[in-house]
Amino acid sequence: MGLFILQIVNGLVIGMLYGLAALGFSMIFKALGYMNFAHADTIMIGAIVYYLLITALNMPFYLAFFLALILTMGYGVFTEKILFVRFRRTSPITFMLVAMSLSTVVKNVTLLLFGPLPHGLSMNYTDAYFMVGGMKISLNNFVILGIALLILLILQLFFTKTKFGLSIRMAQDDPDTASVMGVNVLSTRAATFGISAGLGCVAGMLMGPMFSISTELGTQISLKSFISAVIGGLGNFVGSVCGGLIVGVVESLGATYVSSGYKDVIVYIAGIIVLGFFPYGIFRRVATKH
Amino acid sequence: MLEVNNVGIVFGGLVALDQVNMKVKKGEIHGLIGPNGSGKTTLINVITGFYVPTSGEVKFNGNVISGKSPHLISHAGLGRTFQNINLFPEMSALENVVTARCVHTNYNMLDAVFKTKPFKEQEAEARDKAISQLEFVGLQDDLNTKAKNLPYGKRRLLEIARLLATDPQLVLLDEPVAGMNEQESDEVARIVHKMRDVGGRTILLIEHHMKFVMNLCEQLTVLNSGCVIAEGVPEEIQNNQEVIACYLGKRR
Repeated sequence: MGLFILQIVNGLVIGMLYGLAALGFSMIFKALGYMNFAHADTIMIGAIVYYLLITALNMPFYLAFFLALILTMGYGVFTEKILFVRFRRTSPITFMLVAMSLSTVVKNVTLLLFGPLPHGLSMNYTDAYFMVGGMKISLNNFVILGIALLILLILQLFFTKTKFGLSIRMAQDDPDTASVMGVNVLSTRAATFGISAGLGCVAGMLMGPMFSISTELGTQISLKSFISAVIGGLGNFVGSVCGGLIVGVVESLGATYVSSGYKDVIVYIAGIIVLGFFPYGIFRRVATKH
Repeated sequence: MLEVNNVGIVFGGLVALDQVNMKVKKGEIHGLIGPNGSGKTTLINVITGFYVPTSGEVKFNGNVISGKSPHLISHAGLGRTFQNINLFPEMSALENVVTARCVHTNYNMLDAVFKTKPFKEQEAEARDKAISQLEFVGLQDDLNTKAKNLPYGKRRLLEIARLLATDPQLVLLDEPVAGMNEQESDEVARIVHKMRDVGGRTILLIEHHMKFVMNLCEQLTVLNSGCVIAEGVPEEIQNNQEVIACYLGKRR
């Protein structure tokens, strides 16, 4: 029983982080109508910058957290302004190829600079724990969960309560109408990329210390978060986070009760089964077009 | 008020607009007609900044606006509707109109979280304005109906109400009565008149419904294959041989 609860908690924590990264995917999909395959880089960059700031510059973790977040969001805006904006009138395939190419370049440059070895970063925000059924459940999990929830809350307030947040949502829904209403669609697009990169970065920074920090981190997490976004229904923000939680819990329980070697396989099989029953994702209402 | 000077636009090898000249005077209800594919919507897209003309310029109140991005042109006081209705389907009629005001508010996130006075005032103002726009087009009984559940005619009116919420000086309507019955198009004609007479706005509209155009518009411009072939009051246009030829074909 204790083991079960422990694994559920672990699953929820990891799932929350998959959910954050999935939200980044979903946001770009909603705004542009196609996937941004360069999203994985923001996860990797976030984690590596965070690691470097803490180890090389001896920064306290909260400072490193904000600095890495700002840098990665800046990177997101930069890629859009320099590169992606030029492909906004081309076909989705061109955009996706550009994104994949960018991703390959960024990953390999990072590999040259950072080196191929994975680095460990021990990040315990607290040492406290409590016992459930003979299992130690670390309070650290709940700190991470809390940070993730806080970020979601801030995002929610930003998108529902601020003029710029509302403008972004308007432009994501219907760029032409939004521009007629006076919304600067190019700047909301850039902001969408920035926020998406920020979400990837947070996922990377919180998850990096749980695994090990290397250039492969982005690929590992982004595949799962991609599945989460698809299960939740691409473009559905609540769905993406719920999809992440589902993937996290399935992975965690699968690793414990079936086989830890097959945990990825279990997630993907579960994803295929879910999509068989809900082709548009569990939480996606079929779009009504008028 | 609006001047289109020698505007030309070429898509690949296709000349969509060729040396188009058009003037819309302040306070006028101006019609833009022509057969399908004659470049009417292209011209509207050039005026509202969705396309950049290959040659020529568009002036609005004396300032050149061609080449600027759509949101700047919207801020300058030009508003448009689309041929296919672009509403936010999951939002209520009232919310659809309120969103149009969101660009004009200036509170920040903290104001919104703590519901400070400027936030409440601006929210109330946006709501009141939106309600009055909806009353203007006669949708006062459908404030809380989702846009997707409104009948077709009312969705068109809702789009007009949302446009009016941005307070444009010049309103461009792209086929406002397409697919409407007689009664509904009379209602639109009445609203267009009211926009001019009460709101003091200038109107430029594209429409295929000839009875509607001839009764409503004071000045007409006729496009055919990207060129202006006739200009004038409806009576002149009705008797213009070239216009009749392009609509009905020439007698051999």
